[in-house]
Amino acid sequence: MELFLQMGHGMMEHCYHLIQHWGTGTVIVSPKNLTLEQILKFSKKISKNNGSILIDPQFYIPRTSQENLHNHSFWPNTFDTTTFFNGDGIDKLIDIFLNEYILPSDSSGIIIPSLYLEDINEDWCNINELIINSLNRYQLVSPKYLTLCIGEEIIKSEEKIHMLIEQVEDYPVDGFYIIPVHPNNEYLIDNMTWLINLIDLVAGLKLLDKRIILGYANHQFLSFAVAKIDAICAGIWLKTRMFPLGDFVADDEDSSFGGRRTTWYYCPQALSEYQIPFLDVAHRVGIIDQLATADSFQSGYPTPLFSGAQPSTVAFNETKAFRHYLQCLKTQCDEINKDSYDETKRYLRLLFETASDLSDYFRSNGVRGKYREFTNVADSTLALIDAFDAMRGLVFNTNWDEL
Amino acid sequence: MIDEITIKEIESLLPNISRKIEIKGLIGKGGQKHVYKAIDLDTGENLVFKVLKVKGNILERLKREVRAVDIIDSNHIPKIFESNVNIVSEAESLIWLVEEFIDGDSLRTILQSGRTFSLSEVVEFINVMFLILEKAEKHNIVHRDIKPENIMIDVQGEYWLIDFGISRHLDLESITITHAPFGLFTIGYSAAEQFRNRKKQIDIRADLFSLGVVATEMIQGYNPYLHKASDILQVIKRIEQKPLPALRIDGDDRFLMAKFIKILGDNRLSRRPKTIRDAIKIFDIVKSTLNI
Repeated sequence: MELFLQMGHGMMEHCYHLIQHWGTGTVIVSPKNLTLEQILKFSKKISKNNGSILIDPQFYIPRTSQENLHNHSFWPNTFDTTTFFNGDGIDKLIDIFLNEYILPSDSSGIIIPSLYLEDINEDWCNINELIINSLNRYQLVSPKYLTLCIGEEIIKSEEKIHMLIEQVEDYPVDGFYIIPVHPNNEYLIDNMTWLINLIDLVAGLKLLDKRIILGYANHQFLSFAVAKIDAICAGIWLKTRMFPLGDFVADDEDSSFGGRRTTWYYCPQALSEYQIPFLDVAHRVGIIDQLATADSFQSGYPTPLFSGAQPSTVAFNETKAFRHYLQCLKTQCDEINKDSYDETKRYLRLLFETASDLSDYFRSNGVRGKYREFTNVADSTLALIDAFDAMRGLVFNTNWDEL
Repeated sequence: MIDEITIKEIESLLPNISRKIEIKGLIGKGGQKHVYKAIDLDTGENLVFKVLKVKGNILERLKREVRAVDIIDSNHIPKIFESNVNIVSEAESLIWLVEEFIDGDSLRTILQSGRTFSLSEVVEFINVMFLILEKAEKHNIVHRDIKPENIMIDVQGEYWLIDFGISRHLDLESITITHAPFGLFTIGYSAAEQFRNRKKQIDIRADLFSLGVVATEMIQGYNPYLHKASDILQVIKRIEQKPLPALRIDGDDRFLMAKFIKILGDNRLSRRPKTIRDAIKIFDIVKSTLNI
């Protein structure tokens, strides 16, 4: 499992820094946050550091109120469903997207635009087929990933998830870029049905020999390693770790999840994030060292927090917090790649059980992570691994090496 | 409605057969189908004489049945020696086939006697079905009607798969009406994609579903989808919404055989093995864990 960086507002410098530090890596570029000129410049700089980019066209909702998207040349000037999809609208979009964005930016693959999926119907399927056919006018060697931006209600329905798998199983694409809308706008997810159906979707598509990239994800999705997902994407803001559908429907750029901007420290062994005042509590009750990040994560960013001084008095700013989160998540993604299904399953159980115990222990000492605390979702995440094992374990165990 | 097959009609067919046969007795009857045991009067060989009264695109369906049996060419499928279609009226025709006789009973008859099957017997059954289905898959053929009535167990205990009458040849145009709400199916044994007539989705996985249901029935003694069902709609609802039950099988200490059967008969297409090769690969691992 790889970690791809999910681009969001103010993330360019973080991407340069991290890709340079890692010596490799992939960034999912967001046209909502960058102009074409910026994308091309960004791509050059990233590839100089041995990294690569993928451009998410973000065409989920063509009538989005996001002005930045409308300003892109590939975005249709007027969008009338009938004329756009029956006329040459799709071809124009694909032509411009390929010739002005994908090819000049030397993108490592093509994320195929697709509409937000609120209900699986004939229109959605026909439109996808038209878009794929339009793209197939070109002889392309780069891998093609179809966007599946899926509504919450569809993910909650096992029947609809399987209808979706059956619908897309013959699409001539190399993989899927899945963007799930979280249930009830929750960051960490406790809804078992949603989690099981989403992993079932990933597994069903993975077994078709496709590469699967999960967009707008966070550390809870480390659990998807059991379905041998190829990559998860995460960024600095919550909006890049859970899909902000509202941003595309209405112009509420700063209706951010979780309220006021504040600095969070990610404790990787507890899979939980804590605000600095709660680290002060940990300092006070004498358990601060247990929240420290091990050297093996190679993240020096939070070192001052564990220097012995009261955490709120040391220099640990948002920039360091962001980079620390992504550095740790990258390490966790790298470490999760095991040789067999059973080994992966055992490792994940251990990871989640440890995180559950630790976050409980921290909580019992007054160190709380609010909605970013793993305790809230430990049972459902562990149950997800067991449910997956019951549903798909035998097949994944047998085919692990070939997936 | 199609009229019942009459004795007179059966007798009228005999002169059309190149062999000189004598009918010895009815061994099966269902719908518009009669199956007789017959004897070749020249060689003394036992035969099966099967007659179906049908309407619609019958000649093509008969050709496909014969072709399927011919190209799969398995030691576990009775050979078809001769077949043809006789027109009875404008609307109806009789399809007849002279086939290899299997000395044994159908799985249905055995299950009706109250007998259930041991782990090693079910393993052998699945082995044989995989041998047949692997060949069928290679030739893009889906049987579409695996059920206890179409499985024979001969006196040596060998399993046979019979009746390719509604087999689907994936490389040929479908002869089921495309927009029909339901495809050809047997209730309780056919996968949802088959009875919902989602033709694009029909492949060997439809047979795997039926195989999973039959294996479950061999162990439990009843079909969980049909068991105490009030009507066909309830069966359909069960198949679409409920997975097969978790089985407890003597000798399956690690519950892997139970899991494997459940995967074969999973009501969700994408959770079944995609090919027979995939299924065999998993089955080989499962078999190595069984205490038989």
